[in-house]
Amino acid sequence: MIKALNIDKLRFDMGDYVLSLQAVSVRVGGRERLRCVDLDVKRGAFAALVGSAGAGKSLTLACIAGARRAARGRVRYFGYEIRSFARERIARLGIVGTQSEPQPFGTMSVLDTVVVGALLRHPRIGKARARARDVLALTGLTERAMLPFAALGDVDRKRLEVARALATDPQVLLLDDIAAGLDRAGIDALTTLLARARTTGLTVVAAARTLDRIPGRPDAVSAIEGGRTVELPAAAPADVRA
Amino acid sequence: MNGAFDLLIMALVFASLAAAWSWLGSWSGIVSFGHAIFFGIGGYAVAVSNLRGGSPWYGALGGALASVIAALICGLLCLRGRGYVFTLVTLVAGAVAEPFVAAHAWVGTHDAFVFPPRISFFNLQFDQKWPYVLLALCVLAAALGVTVGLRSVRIGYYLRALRANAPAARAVGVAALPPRLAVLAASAFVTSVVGSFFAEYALAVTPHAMFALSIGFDIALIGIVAGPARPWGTPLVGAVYALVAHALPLHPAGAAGVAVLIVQGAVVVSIALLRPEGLFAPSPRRRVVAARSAA
Repeated sequence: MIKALNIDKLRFDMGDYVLSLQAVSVRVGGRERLRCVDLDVKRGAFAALVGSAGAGKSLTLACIAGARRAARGRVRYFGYEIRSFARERIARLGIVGTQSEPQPFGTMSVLDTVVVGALLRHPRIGKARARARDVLALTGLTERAMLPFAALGDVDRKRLEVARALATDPQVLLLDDIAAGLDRAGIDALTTLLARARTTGLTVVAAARTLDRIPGRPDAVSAIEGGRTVELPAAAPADVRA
Repeated sequence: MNGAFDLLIMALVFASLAAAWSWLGSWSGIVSFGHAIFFGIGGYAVAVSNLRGGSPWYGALGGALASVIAALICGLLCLRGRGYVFTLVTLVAGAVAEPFVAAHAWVGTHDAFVFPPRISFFNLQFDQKWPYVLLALCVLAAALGVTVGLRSVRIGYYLRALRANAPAARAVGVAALPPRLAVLAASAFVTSVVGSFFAEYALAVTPHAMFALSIGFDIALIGIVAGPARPWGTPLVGAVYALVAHALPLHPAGAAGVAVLIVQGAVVVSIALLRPEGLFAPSPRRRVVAARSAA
């Protein structure tokens, strides 16, 4: 699928942007929860999406990942309109999301959970296992490989959530409030992990209430309030980088 | 009649049926009450080949392919989502199957069709019982092989992931329909072959013996009770069930029948309550202890 898209040729269609949302609106239960969201993400960037609780951060990410369908607007990925694509199809194209509450596969072991992700690009189980072990090494879960989800601590659960997504070799990784429930040390652990993962040119879009809950230094910050993207106070990103 | 051989054959038949059912029922958690349809198609396919003087081997193959087509049509229409629709459709189809078959003279009669005796390997008829046992063992071994194989192939991983957490599986690119369709087709194929074998062993088919809704119920309950934990779990429960059913008449008429149903229901409900993941899953308490000690 990803080969058929021939991403490197299409890159020029959208300039340096891998992801582009224009005037996206989403209705949930008859109410318009996203009104007008615009978001452009450069390839290889670390983009942050900040906003208060209920502002529409999660919904925006769900909309990109195909978990929610936008009522209006454009969701473009390498120039392709993916607004109406099913979730698994979007994942196959290279956009994979994680949840703030890590989602286990029942009692499946850490290794097997990551293998499920790796099978997307490596249909043979041997190759998928090898890829999963690489990802476990990258995310620092090698020693936990045989444990079930229930036996993991909070930070390791988040690591597993990210590892399963990374195992699919995504172009874009969506992190929905990945720092939820973690202390400073936990966030720092995720920051290190993501920095390592991004050396391969991965694009990351991370949503959180405040910038200090974003695991890493964002290249670009967008703010969302009341279902609309708003202009940021000019000082905000600089404060974080200082 | 050789009682011990009959018992052994019944145990092997139910073990194979249960194993084949578990690929969809246990692995993806989508319950089918209609597997008697595939069983019956297999049985009636060899009945037709007996009627026409053809080889039941071809009949069994044709029946299996017809079962796969029926399964794929049903699966394509209703295996998406969480599978409730599939369960309901198989329930209704399973209930309609027997009267539907009885209403048509598929094999020249509306009731029992007895196969003409023509003993040869080509005609799948033997004058002794042990070749049947051997054949049944081969089918069971193949079915068990598939179950064991599922643990280490992509489809098996996808089915487990979808069963445990379908949204999370879809989020990493797992489409629900293809793996489910694949195991449903395999399950229909093997169930049909077992039906062909059973009919050829009994040398007769009736709509009730091949298509009864109760056969589908029995297979489903065996699978639900055994659960997905061990590959040999479902066939073992199937074999035990066949032996118990042979020793006690499980579907007698009148008050005794009601009493048996109540006991049967009580057993199933208590297992479902005490072991929701099946008879062979580790108990929840032990699992927590194991997880803690592993950590």
